[in-house]
Amino acid sequence: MNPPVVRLSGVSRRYRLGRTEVPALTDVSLDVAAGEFLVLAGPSGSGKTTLLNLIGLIDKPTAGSVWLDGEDTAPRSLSALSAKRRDRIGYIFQTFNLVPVMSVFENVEYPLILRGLPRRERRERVAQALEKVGLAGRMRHRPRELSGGEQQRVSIARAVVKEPGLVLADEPTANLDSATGRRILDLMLGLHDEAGVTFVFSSHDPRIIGLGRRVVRLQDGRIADPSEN
Amino acid sequence: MTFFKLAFRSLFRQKRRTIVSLAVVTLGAVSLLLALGHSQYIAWGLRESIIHSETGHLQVFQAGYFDREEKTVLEFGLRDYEQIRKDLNLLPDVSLVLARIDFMGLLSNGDKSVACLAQGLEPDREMRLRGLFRMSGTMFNPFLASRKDPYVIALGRKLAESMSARNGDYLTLMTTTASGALNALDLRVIGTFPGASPEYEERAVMIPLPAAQELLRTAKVKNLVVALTGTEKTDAQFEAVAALGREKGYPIALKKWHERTAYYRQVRQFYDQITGFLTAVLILIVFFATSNTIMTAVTERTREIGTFFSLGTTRFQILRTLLIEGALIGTIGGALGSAVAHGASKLINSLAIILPPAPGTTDGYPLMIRSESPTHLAVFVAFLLIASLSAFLPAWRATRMKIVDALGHI
Repeated sequence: MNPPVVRLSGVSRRYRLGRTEVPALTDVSLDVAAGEFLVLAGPSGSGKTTLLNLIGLIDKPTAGSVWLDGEDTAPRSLSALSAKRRDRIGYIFQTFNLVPVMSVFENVEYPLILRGLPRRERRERVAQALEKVGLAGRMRHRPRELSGGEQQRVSIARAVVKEPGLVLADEPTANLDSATGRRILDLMLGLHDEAGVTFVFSSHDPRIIGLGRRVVRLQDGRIADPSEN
Repeated sequence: MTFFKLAFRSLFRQKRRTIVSLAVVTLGAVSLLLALGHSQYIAWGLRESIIHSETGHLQVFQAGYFDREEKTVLEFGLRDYEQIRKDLNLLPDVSLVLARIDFMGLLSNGDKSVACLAQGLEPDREMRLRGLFRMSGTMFNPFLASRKDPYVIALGRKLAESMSARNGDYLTLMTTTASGALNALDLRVIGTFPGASPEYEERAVMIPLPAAQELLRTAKVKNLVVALTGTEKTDAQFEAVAALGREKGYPIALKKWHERTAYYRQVRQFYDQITGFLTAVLILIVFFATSNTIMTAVTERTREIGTFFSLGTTRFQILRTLLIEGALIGTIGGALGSAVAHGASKLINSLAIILPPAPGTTDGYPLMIRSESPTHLAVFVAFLLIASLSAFLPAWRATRMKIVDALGHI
């Protein structure tokens, strides 16, 4: 196994709802090796999204530590975490989360602007990314002019265009019909095989879960069988 | 896609709401510019009319005039005024120099005597002084028609009514001379004149300067009134006249026009207070309209802001984008407001609307708007700043969002 890109050590996350605290994750430890294609499986409310949020540095654990690229992320400042997200992590959302006032090209270009890449390089990279997801001909379209599957492909292009070390996908096929979902997953597998990008995605769909190279099952905020990890 | 472009497109995502906000800002700018323009017209018109009918730009007095009270009439009157006038006329920015005498007198028609405020003046120069500001000098026409006869008098309209005086009647004007004796002249009524207030019209009389000097038994005048080629030259010419006095050894004291008119200062203060209040109200309206637009935009785009954060956008970049949206509302609204206000002022000025007389005055005055570039620029910049500032709080709140909460927002 390659050295871990992500290491979770005794991670717990509790949310406060009024006066009560609800545990979303409890004492989760997990290593994700570089180049893995990992599926977080489990029913709704099992803690998949919370775990992805913690790995993606958009949430902080109440206990335990999250390591990314061999660094403990806890002492990092907000701007340093922003920079990590900008440079190292790509996100694919269940609801695509494309910016409606931007064209397909601009949505995919945005992460490269954040990284300060020159215009010519941005143009080339965006064209390549859209070529890979099969949307080279839809660059000037706005998201609302695309189907759900196409929007998710734009979302994938946006996640991979900056060549991140880690791509996180939260139920990327949940809002798509099964055939489209399957195509999206094939696309992700292709990108993984081609570029060796580490993919971690969550799903509760058994047909999708079956495609995972490694499956971590979550149940009530805990890893169902820690010995598998 | 720059942050500016993103802000611009986001602004017009909800066209109707943005148009309403822009309309509020535009109307605010128009209202403020029209109010300021009218106030500036009043101040400018009043200033120039006071200068060109009363104070001139500068006044030259005998040294000591302002230091002590006169014990006798014209004790501190100006001697050698003709020589001083000659030298003043050589200064390039001096248009006109007039001599005047003011004194209190008693006017009688034989049956009735009324205390009056008399002014000895040079009618032809007084007429030219008013002409410099395109003011009517027709009130001096009767003096010019009776140029050969110095023993004439013009009365304030209400004073003429009160004395039942008609043209050609003789009235006696009595006063104390410069040496303290009593003296009187019989003067022929040649006309009446209007005044700025009813009180002035009830008391004012005008006679030619030679008649006043004869009545007061003096060769002095109270002061010289200096009109310049432009009000903006007042300070520079004040120094030039002071230097001339020092050079020639004239014992003179100088005053600028605004030091001789408390009325102007009071009116200016009055209008400044009104426009200040109006400005504050309009600024508040613009502030809350813009703030509300950005606040609603932030609420609607919470999930999008969460997405931006998850992609690595910094808090500062989010703040900057939302502030640009506020600034754009201020910029577009301010620019539209300036253009509309400019057109509206032209239209209003062309209609020649006359407003009713202000309290204490006898004549109506025109509703005119001055449309000056510095004022438009100041209002534009102010609205730009206010709109940007008003966006700050909602923008700041957006940067404080928890990313997971924002992404889960529906």
